[in-house]
Amino acid sequence: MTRILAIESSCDETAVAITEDGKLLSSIVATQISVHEKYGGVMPEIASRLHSENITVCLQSALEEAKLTMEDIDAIAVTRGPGLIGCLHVGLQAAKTLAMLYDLPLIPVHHLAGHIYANEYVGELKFPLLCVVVSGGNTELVYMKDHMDFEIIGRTKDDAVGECFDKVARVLGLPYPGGLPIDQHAKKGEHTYELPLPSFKDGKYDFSYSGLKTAVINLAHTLKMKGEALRIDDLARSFQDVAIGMIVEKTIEAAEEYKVAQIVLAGGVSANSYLRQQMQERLKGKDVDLIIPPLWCTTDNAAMIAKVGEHLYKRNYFAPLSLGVDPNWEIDQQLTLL
Amino acid sequence: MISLGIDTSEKYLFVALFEDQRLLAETKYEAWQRQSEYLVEEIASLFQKTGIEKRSINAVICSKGPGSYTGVRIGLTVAKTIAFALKIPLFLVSSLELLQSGKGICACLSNARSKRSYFGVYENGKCILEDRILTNEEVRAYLAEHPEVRSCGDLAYLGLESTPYEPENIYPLCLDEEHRCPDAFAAAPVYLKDEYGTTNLHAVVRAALPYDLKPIGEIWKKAFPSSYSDKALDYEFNENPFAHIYAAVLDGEVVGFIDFMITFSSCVINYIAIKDEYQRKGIGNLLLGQLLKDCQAQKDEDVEYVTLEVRTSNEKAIAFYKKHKFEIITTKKAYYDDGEDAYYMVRSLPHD
Repeated sequence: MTRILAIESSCDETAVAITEDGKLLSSIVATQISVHEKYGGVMPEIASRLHSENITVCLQSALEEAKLTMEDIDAIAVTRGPGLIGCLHVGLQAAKTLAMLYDLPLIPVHHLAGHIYANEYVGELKFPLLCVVVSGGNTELVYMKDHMDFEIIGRTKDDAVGECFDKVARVLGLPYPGGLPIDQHAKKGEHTYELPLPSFKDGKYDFSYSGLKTAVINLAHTLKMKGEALRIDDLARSFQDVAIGMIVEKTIEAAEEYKVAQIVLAGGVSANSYLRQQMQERLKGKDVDLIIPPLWCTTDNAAMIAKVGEHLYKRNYFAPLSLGVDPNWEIDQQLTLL
Repeated sequence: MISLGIDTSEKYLFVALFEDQRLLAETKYEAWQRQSEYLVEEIASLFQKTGIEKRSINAVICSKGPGSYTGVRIGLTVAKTIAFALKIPLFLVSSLELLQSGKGICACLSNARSKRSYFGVYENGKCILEDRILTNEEVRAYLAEHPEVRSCGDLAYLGLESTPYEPENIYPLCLDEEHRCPDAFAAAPVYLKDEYGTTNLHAVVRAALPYDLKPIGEIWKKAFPSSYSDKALDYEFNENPFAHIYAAVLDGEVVGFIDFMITFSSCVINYIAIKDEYQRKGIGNLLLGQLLKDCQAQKDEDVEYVTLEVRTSNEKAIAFYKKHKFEIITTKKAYYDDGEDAYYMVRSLPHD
């Protein structure tokens, strides 16, 4: 029997989870969203402060909920990157301290590998696989030949899609985080505003969102200057069609080129209902599996870090206590640390 | 009783094991910005070196700041995690108190950057003046007026002679009730300043946090009794997505606040108020300075002007705004519920 305690603190959630042979025993998430929504985004210094205040409470709650003590744990998994550096430090120090005190292996986990493997809570991964990683910090197409083998075949050239949703939400006067409110308004609207679709010469699976963001801001501004009302529902719909449409098109194309057996969605933006519905529709009748993560796995949590931890535990992929954080860690480097 | 001491609040990495008052072993070296990597490993080798069983220790003692934000958090996170896991008491010591050197009165100092110092005065382990931020000029003036006081710390930044860094002498004296942290789970660093405010006064401007709600409500209620309601306050804090709320904090006390909104090219001041006893001390300037900084930091669009409404009878406020280049554009008749008129004042913002 293997019990893994996992810690995640890369952005605005302090999270601790415990698994036993793949079964989730507890998953605690202390969210900071209510603090950050005032700023329309995450304030790194404040986030680091809250992590250091929350961390031991989360550890305690996770053990209590799992009805275990530290002596029952076999390994510590922790998010080493990517993320906000001050935030990552807090989780890593706690993880290293516990590994040191109880002589446990320390498993360094890539945050996005966590989002991908969160899908194992709902289905089995089938290879070759294409993963659509879409969140506040990332927009990537990741190709996997096998477990823990990650190849980035496309990525955003500028803003992440989730970041773009947050900015557009702010322009439309909608709350932070912007994903859900835009999704809700878009359902009531029509695609009546024309927004540009970026084009690329190189990197056919790459993305760009800064042009789209600027176009929405300019449009809102122009309407205001002309004294015309901004139809929030319609603009949300027009924006979402373009932003999500870009992801769907490239994913389908890449899936065909790479002849994948399965497509999995991962990251905060995979909660978007239009993305989920479009992917299902476009894959109808095709011989490609689709896994959509449960909503609780689209936000940051430590259960997903524990999932990756299990795979790495079997490979004896353990880091020394001198492990440092890496805010820019690339997913294809997950296995090259040691 | 075996205790583990940790300090990473400035450039050093310090870990030590004590048996009661006696130092058993220590590791101390400069590890600026590398403490995250080395700290836990150094603790492990200290246990190995002394042969002390790591889970048998009885207490953890750690510095709580002020100092490097990240450094303090790293040490404190490790200390809290140990205290939590082993269910042992956590003792917290000011990073300045830790700098005491020799007998007599010590002015403990460290570099707070921007020509400022963290400053606290201690005498044989007793705190005489609580930790605070002073400008380096104020520090020099204090030292000149108090020749009997020894200045302690790494003082090259002030052009003064440094004293040795010897936390191993201080920590054993701090394992008392006064330094014991009543709730290790809630232990949080002492920051003293916030990078969101820049000031050469003692007051610090920082983004308002949930626990500032009450003091801000009280200041608001006193300054604008007719507009205040719990609901209005709650709306500004929790619902208005455009509201920027900042608190001016002096020695931990909220003494004023500003609440403004940035929408596209304009910024509107909703409220700005300062406690009576702290008015005319430049705190309003600091709050307004924060507003200008936020306006200039807007990336999506240039903020071109700042607007506000003020009661025509509020001469003090009107004079303040005029000093800050606001002009009266028009009078809004019967703008307030009680029938009073408002001046509509505007200032434009320069952009590079």
